[in-house]
Amino acid sequence: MQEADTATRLDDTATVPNPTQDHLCFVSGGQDFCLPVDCVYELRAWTRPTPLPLARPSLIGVINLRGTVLPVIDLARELGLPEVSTPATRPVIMVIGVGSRRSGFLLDSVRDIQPVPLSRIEPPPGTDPSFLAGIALVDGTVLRILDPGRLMPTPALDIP
Amino acid sequence: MHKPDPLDEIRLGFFAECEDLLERLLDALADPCLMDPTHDAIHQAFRAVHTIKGGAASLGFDVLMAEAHGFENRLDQIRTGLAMPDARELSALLAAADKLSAEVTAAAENQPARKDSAPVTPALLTNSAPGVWTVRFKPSAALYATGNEPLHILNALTACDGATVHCDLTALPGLEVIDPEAGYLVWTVRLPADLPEATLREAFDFVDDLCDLSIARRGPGATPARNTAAVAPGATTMRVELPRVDRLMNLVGELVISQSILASTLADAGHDRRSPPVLAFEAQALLVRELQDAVMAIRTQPIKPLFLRMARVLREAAAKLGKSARLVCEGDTTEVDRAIIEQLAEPLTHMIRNAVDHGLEPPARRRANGKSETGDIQLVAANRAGRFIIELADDGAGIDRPRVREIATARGLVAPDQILSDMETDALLFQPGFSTARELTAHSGRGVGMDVVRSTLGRIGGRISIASTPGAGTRFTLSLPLTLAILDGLLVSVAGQILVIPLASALETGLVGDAGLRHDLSGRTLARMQDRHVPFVDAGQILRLGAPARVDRPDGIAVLIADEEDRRIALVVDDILEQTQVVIKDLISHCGPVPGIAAATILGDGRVALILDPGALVGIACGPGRMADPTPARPRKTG
Repeated sequence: MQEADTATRLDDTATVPNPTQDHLCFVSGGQDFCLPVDCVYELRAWTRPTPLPLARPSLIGVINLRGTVLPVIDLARELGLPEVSTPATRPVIMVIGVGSRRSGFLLDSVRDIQPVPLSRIEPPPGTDPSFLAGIALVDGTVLRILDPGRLMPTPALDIP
Repeated sequence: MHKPDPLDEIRLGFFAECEDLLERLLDALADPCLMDPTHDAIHQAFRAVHTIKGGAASLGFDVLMAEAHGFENRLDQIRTGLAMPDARELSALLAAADKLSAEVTAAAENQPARKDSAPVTPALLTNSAPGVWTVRFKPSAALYATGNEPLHILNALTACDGATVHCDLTALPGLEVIDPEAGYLVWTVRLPADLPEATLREAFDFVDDLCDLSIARRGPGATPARNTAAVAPGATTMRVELPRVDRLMNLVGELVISQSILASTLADAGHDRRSPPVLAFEAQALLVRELQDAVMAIRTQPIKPLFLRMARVLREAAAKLGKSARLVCEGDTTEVDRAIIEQLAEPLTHMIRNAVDHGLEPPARRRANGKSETGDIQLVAANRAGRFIIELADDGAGIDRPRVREIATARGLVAPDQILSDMETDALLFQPGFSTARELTAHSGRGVGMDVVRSTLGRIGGRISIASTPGAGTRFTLSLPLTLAILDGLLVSVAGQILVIPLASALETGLVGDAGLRHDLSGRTLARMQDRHVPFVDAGQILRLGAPARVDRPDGIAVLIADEEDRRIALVVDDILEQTQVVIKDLISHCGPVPGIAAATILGDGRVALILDPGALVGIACGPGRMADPTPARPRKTG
């Protein structure tokens, strides 16, 4: 994934006066989303997580990330997307981190990294709290940018 | 980007050192020989405060420096024999130590000093004396043999105002070698300097030749000889950052995991138990075990610093509530994992406050009941059966059971007509909702709920129980694991998944087919294990790990587990794999509380396995007991 962030692209951003931020674009539940790359720690091939008893349906289980126990969440279910008829053939676990916390998310596939001009990012439509941090129109397509902070599981809220 | 200040590191070092020094100071203040300048205790206290002062001065913490300076003067007066130390002075010194430690905290947090407490400095100047007589009196065996009574002499001496007596017991041998007729004791009497020497000599008229006697006056400016070359304790220790120790611990954990991989590889390769590779492996396994113990020993610390902190909490609470209380500590050299000590500080603080507030009666009532006005709060630490035990007992009024009952009824925790035993009534204190205070923070005040204390302990695998005698006091017993790092566990397989049952709570295992199953009226399956009927519970079903299996399948294996109340269930699993040590990995901070699960571990093949929480499982199976599970099993919110 890091290799995809090619030198030419870096040069582009350096010459453009309008500052950009790289976003990782991926597919979840058959739909396109993206996240700022600086919160993405790594991409891992699918390994079967150890299921947690009585967990909410989107929490698939936990995996061993080099000695740390990492929760893995089905992103499509977490976002409430409708089930797709053909499941992904090569699903990916994307590890994202906010502060000191890490969490894994199950994706259908990863597309690429796109620089998004900061001036193009607009607040998400609607007033309901959602997983969206904003939307951006790049090259004629609408990018939906997720909010990593809202995606992270919040154990504190689960404690009665 | 914030540019780091080069002094930051020095400051951090200073505050870390302050912690040590304050501990040493409190240690010295607790020494019974503190008031005797010939003993090291007072010098140790002086050195500690002096070092804090020096550091504070060089780093520009003026308020802290001033505080330390005042304190230092005060100690210096005792050290040089100028002040007349008494019990009041001792409590003033303890208060000064508390104030100093508050100033250190304030300086560390870069906050202005607290204004609510009076400065220590003015008080100490009033205590300076123009000089004192020091009388050192060591009766010989002959003095006792001739029927003289040192007590009469001492009484005569101390009849005058302002006299203090200190008895030095250091020469006293153990009971097994003591000669009951020999003179071991040395008394030091200090008297105001305005008394004529003749008055003092008079008291010893009849025993002049039967004792070692020295009478000396120390005026202002006279410096007693003291042992400046004394080696500061702790010279053989080294300061290491905690993350380094944690890293060492993690590496040892990984080593234990790779050991189990190696073990299974050797077994798969078909090596005989006596073959050289297996023997070599076993020798290495012993070394790894030893290494693990050695690293654990670095992590373990005596509980003493925590107890010293608790003594301070007690003093503050007693002063705030106008009660008189004393902390009696036992077993403070008991060692336990540092992580446990850290987790214990808050619950214990609240329990001590509760003990002073609710446990001890007001002084007037204590007097009326024929008790000493000063309440005793006892804090005992011990290692028992692989667990770390702390007992907190007060000699107060005991639990007011009618009142507890009244509150519990008012809050809807028990039905008005429900019959409860004394024990069950006491246990109501642990019920969520019994106390309205919900937060367990350093600043919360009175009446923090025992349920919060209980759940805080529960999070680190601790349990708490209560025993109370009306009129005589209340005793809480805390039982904690010795470490949060490694656990002896029983690996079992359930619905294709491997689970770990903590070995300490697995009482017995057996084939389901041998258990003689029967059914009770509500359709539950029961069996007799260890002379008791226990419910049979399928592990996969209770944890919803797969399709429910029949509990009474004869090839299933029943593991008898018990919670802290000794409520038992037989957990039916598919198979028992092995008994092994597992490295405990934190689960809750990433995933939130998981019903029935205490933590996770990583198996030899790199997969994650869940460690069961027997208490919670019993709670799920049998419903909340009278001591409800700390983290109630409730379905998580659905996403």
